[in-house]
Amino acid sequence: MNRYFYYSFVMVAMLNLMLYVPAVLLENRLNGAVSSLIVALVIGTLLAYASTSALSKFPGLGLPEILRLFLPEWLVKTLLPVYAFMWFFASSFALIGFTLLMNRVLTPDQPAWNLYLILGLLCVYGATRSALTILYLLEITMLLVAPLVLLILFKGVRSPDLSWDAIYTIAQYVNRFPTLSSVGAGTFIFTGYINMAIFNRVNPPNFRLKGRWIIPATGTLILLATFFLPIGFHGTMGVERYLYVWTQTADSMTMRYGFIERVVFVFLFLYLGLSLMYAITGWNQSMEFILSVSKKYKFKVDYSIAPAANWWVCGSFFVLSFVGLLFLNERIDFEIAEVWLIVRMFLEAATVLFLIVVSWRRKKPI
Amino acid sequence: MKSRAARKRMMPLRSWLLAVMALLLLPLGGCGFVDIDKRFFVVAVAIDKSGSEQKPYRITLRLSIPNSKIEPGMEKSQVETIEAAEISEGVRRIKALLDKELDLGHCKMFVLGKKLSHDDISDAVDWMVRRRDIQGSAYVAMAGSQGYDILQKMPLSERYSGNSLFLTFGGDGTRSSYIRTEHLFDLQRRRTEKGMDPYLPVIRTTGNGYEVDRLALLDKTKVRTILTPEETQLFNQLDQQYVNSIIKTKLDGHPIILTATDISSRYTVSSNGILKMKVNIAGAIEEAPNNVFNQDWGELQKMFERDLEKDAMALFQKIQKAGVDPFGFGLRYRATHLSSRAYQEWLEMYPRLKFEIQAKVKIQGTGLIK
Repeated sequence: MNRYFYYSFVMVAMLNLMLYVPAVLLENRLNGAVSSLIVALVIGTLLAYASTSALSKFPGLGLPEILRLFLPEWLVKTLLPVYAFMWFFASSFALIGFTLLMNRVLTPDQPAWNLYLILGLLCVYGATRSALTILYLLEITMLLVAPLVLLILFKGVRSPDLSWDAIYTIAQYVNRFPTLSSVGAGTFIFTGYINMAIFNRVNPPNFRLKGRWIIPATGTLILLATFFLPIGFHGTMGVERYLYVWTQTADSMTMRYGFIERVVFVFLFLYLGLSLMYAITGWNQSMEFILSVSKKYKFKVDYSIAPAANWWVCGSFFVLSFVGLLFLNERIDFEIAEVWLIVRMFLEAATVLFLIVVSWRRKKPI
Repeated sequence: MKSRAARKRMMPLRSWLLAVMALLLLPLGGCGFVDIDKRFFVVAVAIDKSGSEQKPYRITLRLSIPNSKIEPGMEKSQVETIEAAEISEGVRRIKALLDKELDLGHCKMFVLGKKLSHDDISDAVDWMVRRRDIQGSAYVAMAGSQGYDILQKMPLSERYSGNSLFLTFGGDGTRSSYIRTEHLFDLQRRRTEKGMDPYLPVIRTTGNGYEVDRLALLDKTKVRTILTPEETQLFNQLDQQYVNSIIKTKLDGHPIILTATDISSRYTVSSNGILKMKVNIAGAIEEAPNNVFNQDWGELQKMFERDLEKDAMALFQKIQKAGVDPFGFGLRYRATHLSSRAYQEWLEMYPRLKFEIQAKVKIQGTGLIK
């Protein structure tokens, strides 16, 4: 189970490049993004440590079961849909954002909903699978994708085209006061731990998470790369002119002796895999939250035929997000993302705080 | 566990949902796809000023015609040109002249005409950066005269269309210390950066192909000055530590030439307006009068150092006088000075900036003869 936690963590950390995290951070680069990175690093690590410690007190229980242990039923019944919405929104939003990007870059002749039909239906199928299947799928995807993403990041750092002077110039703005939106964006990198809210059900009774130093280590590296590499490639001023700054950064690199010279295509297909995986895990957990509203619901680790309820819930996710897609474009997306990243941070922090408190009470015999 | 009967009752529902999903996939016609034999691959684009009022731009595309034989000189290209009011309109109008769909995704070379570069490159570069299918890593250059002439030229040695230009700038083929490559993303960075200005290599046509040995220095929008081949090489040496380049000096009227195999250059910009640069060059003598082996090498090194310092000073003063900053001295100043006013200070300081150059040359050998 150890490695599955880190797969989920690294997936979310890597996925942020594609989402609106770099855009929010880079927009604030001259007023507080750098100090926000440090604050986000501390908050993110603390939240990740706290939540994993707290959850280890409840082996085999997901967040819905833990809520039921300590809160009255009516409160649980109102909270679970809120959580479901959180997960649903995050993953659908990422999928829609990625669809729009693919549409702009790869298939401009087709309408975006056309592409979303394929991606969304794939996610419906994926999300209806059992928790075990999804964890296996996560492992396979991450083993395929992560080395290549790291290769691209490494290529970027080693590139002679990278202007270190520009990076140092921006790094000097560390003395500005951190801003809320930048901290919200920065902490998103660490938010992979939150997938344990459901996947903790799969954990065996004496489960201990090992190697937690990986969280701050990879988090720091990816956070710094996310923010500083585009600045090195596009300059301190030019960087804000790009809509999809990381796609442009990948397009500035070439692999002369690779099979595909333009790195951007490799990059896009890697992130296609990551976005689909993120949406599948997100929808699956959101589905679990909704199903858990009923007290009679029994979680099963694995099943050969997905229950009909899964199909209904995920199908409606698809319809809802499809309708959402028709109303969204990059401008609205960006504005929503900025607010969403902040709201999400507070919701997560509150959840982790709750878990900490109840895990302390758990120490004493109940 | 649900009973088997219950599961059986659910099966139709599942297949029903699957059927709906399959039906939803029907409108995906694959209409965005055009076969490869129905495409024209653009290999180079030139943007010129036409001189007319209504249609100020002249767009030229070089299209590759696929050939079953790949042999030097067998290559066929089609060059289409048109005058238009806007760049994108020009490209769309060229489509009307062709029987196949245009594909800009493989275009790696953009040539800006001399008149356009001396006037304003902003619109042209903005267009390139905004278009989704133009590579960020494409090469941009300025034409010695008309961009159209560069595209018209079919070098004898070309194996496939445009190959000659790609090899020139890609560093895969020739590696010349006189060539400086400019990528589109770098041009865009330099156009927007505070404290670093853009440059463009200058392509001129010769009998058999192209000559690329000069560098045009631009302020944010237009060409201010053009470096000579010697200055371009020195710029490459100082800015990119370009090895396999040469430095020269004279001994009793005879030229001595040293091939640099190892270059390091470092500089600092201090807030009292002095730029200090240290250059270390090591290499072997390639061309010299007889018996240079028995001369005093220390003396020779001093002579190299003196000439290098003199040339570098002349180069710095030339770019300073032109009011441009291709090295990115200003960005270095911003990077090393903790102040939000650093850029303002730099702008006031640059015209009066003093240069101190300290060169160190090491002769490693005299080649195979004395």
